[in-house]
Formats: sequence, structure tokens, C-alpha cells
Amino acid sequence: MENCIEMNDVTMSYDSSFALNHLTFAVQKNEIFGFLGPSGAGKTTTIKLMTRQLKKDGGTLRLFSKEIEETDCSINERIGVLSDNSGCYERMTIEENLCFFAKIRGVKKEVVPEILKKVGLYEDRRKSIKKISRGMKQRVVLACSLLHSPELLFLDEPTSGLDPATSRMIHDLILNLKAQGTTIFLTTHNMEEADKLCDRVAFINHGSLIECGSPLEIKLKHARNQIEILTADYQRVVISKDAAGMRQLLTLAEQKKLLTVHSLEPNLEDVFLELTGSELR
Amino acid sequence: MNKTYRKVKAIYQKEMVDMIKNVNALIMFALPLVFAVLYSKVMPIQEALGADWLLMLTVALNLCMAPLSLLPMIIAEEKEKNTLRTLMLSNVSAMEFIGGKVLAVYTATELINLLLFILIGVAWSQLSIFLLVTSLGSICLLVIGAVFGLLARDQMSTGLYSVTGMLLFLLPTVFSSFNSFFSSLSKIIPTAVIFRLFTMMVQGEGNWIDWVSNLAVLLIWTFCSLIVFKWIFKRKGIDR
Ligand SMILES: Nc1ncnc2c1ncn2[C@@H]1O[C@H](COP(=O)(O)OP(=O)(O)OP(=O)(O)O)[C@@H](O)[C@H]1O
Ligand SMILES: [Mg+2]
Repeated sequence: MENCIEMNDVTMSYDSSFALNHLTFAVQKNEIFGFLGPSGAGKTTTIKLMTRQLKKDGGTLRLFSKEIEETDCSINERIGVLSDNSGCYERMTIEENLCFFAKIRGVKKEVVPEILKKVGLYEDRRKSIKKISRGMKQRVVLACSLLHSPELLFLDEPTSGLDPATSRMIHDLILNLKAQGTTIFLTTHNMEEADKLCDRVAFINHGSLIECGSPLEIKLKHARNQIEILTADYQRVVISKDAAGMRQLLTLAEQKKLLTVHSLEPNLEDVFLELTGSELR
Repeated sequence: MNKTYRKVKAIYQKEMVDMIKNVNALIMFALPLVFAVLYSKVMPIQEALGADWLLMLTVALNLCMAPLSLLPMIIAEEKEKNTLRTLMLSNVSAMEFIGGKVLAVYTATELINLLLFILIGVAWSQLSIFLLVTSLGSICLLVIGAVFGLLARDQMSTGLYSVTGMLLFLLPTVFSSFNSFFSSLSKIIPTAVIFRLFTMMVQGEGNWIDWVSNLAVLLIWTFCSLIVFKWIFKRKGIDR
């Protein structure tokens, strides 16, 4: 499988104490890669390194099999970025903003209505940016980043602050883009979202990578080999998933004392909390 | 080259439309015009001090407004509102960005200069000379304005640079005939120099030393500002 992004032993630090420690991972072509971590973990910093907004201190970072130092700004023609630090023009309407960026990108104006429909802003296209909500602004920036149909899309918390219906729409859009061949690098705090969308995820905390793999792999790896049952007298009992536990289960079943059985598989959030020992902020 | 042209053109067009919607910009454009109307039509100061003096005052004011205050303001605004980020990530280079803005502000500056020329009613035969000389002046001040734009972090902080620039460029120009200190200072101030060039051309006076020295002042200002611009740009980039 071809890699879109390869990070090898990448380090980088700000003047403050924060640093990214020896990050190593790869993002494959046409996958949705989730980059998960609590606030301040270094997610945005990593995206900035990959999009040439910051320079790394050490290690190698390759985009489309090319060292990042050797790329010039024309690489921006192949990538799209939605980040919390990109904005749009307040004295213009949604549609004017998109038409402007289409001109900048050298893309035909005809794609603008199509993309506005995709992000659900077509009805509001004549509204001035000054008068729209934060979630709408975020979708305008998202629409701008899609204008040139990038091969690789960086989405920094695309659904933070959006209502559930709009989040769902963005999720569908992301899945659609993947179906069309786009590679997506996504950061989020939302473990459920990651579980639903991502082919693979990486956990990052205090600038270090602590786990990487498909959501299922990770969940199984940290599964607690236990099941929880509810007995006839409404008692919750946790038993182990071995032969002894199964005999216990069988006995209860024979006595008709077994009401429900739950396999105690952790969700991504449980694994994350276990690994970091911290609360998701 | 083609791509650069496309991007600079897109930014230029956006900027031209945007200036009309920008209240700050409109006030800055209106100020010299209001002065011109006030002094030439309402209060007849023009008769006492001459049309040339009034033209010099209002053009100097215009040059201090658009290139020196508006340009850094609209550059800083894009930093503040994070639109510069979006542009950079859309493959726009810092030079394309500044180029589009400078061209737009230049157009607006010369348009206002033309209006001033018409309002104050200087002889039409002098128009081409006037446009030539004010263009030289505005290019010089646009480069200085671009330096301010690089330095400023947000719109608020552009005020500090602009006001300093205005004091430096406006006071000596306006008061050169009243005060010997300002008079000598005005010999090396671009806003004043362009008027000396204008008068020399219109009246066909001045020897070659006057010509060379006045033109040299403009060129030196432009050149030094370009160097400062490049130096700051190299050290700081546009958005750090
Ligand atoms: N320009 C900067 N200078 C110094 N320190 C910075 C700078 N930007 C970020 N940091 C620090 O780096 C750390 C990581 O920040 P980063 O923005 O990458 O976190 P994040 O994972 O994106 O968090 P969030 O989920 O809140 O967006 C933080 O502790 C932050 O304080
Ligand atoms: Mg972030």
C-alpha cells in the first residue's frame, strides 16, 4: 500500500516546554486516519508540521513520498486543510468567499454551488459571513478546502461545535470523499466519531504516540477478557471469559437465573483513559 | 507566471470591491477630499495660500492615508482574521498576497489624487505630470506601508506605525514654509519632495542638481524600504 504521509522519529518543540517526541507512523493512501488526543496533546502542531506551517527539529517527514524539505508551496495544490486557525472574509457572503478561493485555485466557478450543497450551505449562500454561526463558518472553510478536490485532506476537529445533525452530514461527506479516493487525516476529541469513521487511529498524549492501529484491533488488544451478567435477583456479576467462568454461566443458565449477558469490550474512550490515565478534556 | 498573474488578479479584484465595503477605508479616502472641498469651496484659504499649496497638503494627506495607513491595516486584518492562513494554504505566496494589495491600494490612491486634482481645479495641462509625480511618491510610500504591514500583528497595532509615519511625512510637508526646521526636514521627506518635483516640472525651473537630488531622495527611500522589507520578511516571514 502506498503511503501518503510517512513520519519517522519526528521531533519538534516550541520555546515553551511542550514538545512532540519521536513520532513515527504512516498514513496510507485512501484511508481515513484518526489522530486522537486530549486538548494540548499536539494534534494541531502535528498538522502544522505536515502542512509546512511549522518546521520540525528532527526526524524525517515525507508527503507523497517526497521529503517535506524538498517540497515547495505547489504541494498545496494536492492538499486541502481545515484548521481552527484558517478563516474567511467577513465582509463577503458565503458564495463570494468560495468564488474568490475558486479564482485563487484556478477552479471553475461552476463547482461552487455543488460544494455548497455538499456542506449544506447552499440555501444560506447569500448570507454575509458576519451574520452566520461558528459552525457555519467552519463549514465555509471546509468548503474552501474542498474546491480543488485535494488528494489529501487535513481536517482539524471538523465537527467540534456542530450540532448532531450537521455532524452527521459532515461524517457522510467525509465517507463520500474517501469513496472518491481522498486520503483523510482527521483529528478529534470525539472517540465515537473516530470509531465510526476511521480505518486506523493513533492516540497521542503529551506529544507522544501511545497507540496506533484500527479501532477494532485496539479495542480487542485492550479487551478485559470479562463478561458482565445480570442475574434473576438483579445482581450484576462480572465473570472471566475462561472455562471456569463459562461453567459458572452455564450453571446460572440451568438454574434459569440468567437475565442478560454483556461482553465487556471497551470502547475507544475506555482504552484511551486506561492508556493515559487522564480524563478526556 | 500564469498562475501568479491569476492569483494576484484575484486578490486585486477582491480588494477593490472590499475597499468600498470597508468603512475604515472609506473614511481614509474621504478625509483628503473633505479637506479639498472645505479649503477650496467653503473657506477660501486657497486664495491666500494658492492652489498648489492646497494640492500639496491634500495629496500628502492622501499618501499618508491610503499607502501608509490603509495598506498595513488590510494586511494586518488578514493576519488577525486568519484569512492569510487560508490564502497561504491555497498556494498563495507572500509576494503574490502583498502584490495584489499594493496594486489595489495604488489604484485607489491615484484615483483619489485625480479627484483632488479636479476638485482643486489645477490646469488640465499639468495632469500628466501630476500623475507621474504622485505615482512615484505613492510607490515609495506603498513600500513603507508594506513594511508596517509586516511588522503589525493586528489592526490595532498598525495604528502605532501609521501615526508615526504620518507625523514624519505630513508635518514637515505642511509646515515647511512656516518653520526652518521643518523646511530643512522637508527636503528629505518623500511627500514634500514630490511637490518640489511637480513645481519644477510645471514651471520649468530648477537645474539638474535639483532634479537629481529630489529624485534621489525618492529612490533612496524606496530602495531602503525595499531592503528593510526583505530583511524583515526573511527574519519574520509574514505571519509569525
Ligand atoms: N505557538 C506556540 N508557541 C508555544 N507553545 C505552543 C504554540 N502552539 C501550541 N503550543 C503548545 O503546544 C501544545 C500542543 O498544542 P496543540 O495546538 O498542538 O494541541 P492540540 O492537540 O491541537 O489541542 P486542541 O485539542 O485543544 O486543539 C499545547 O500545550 C500548547 O500550549
Ligand atoms: Mg488543535
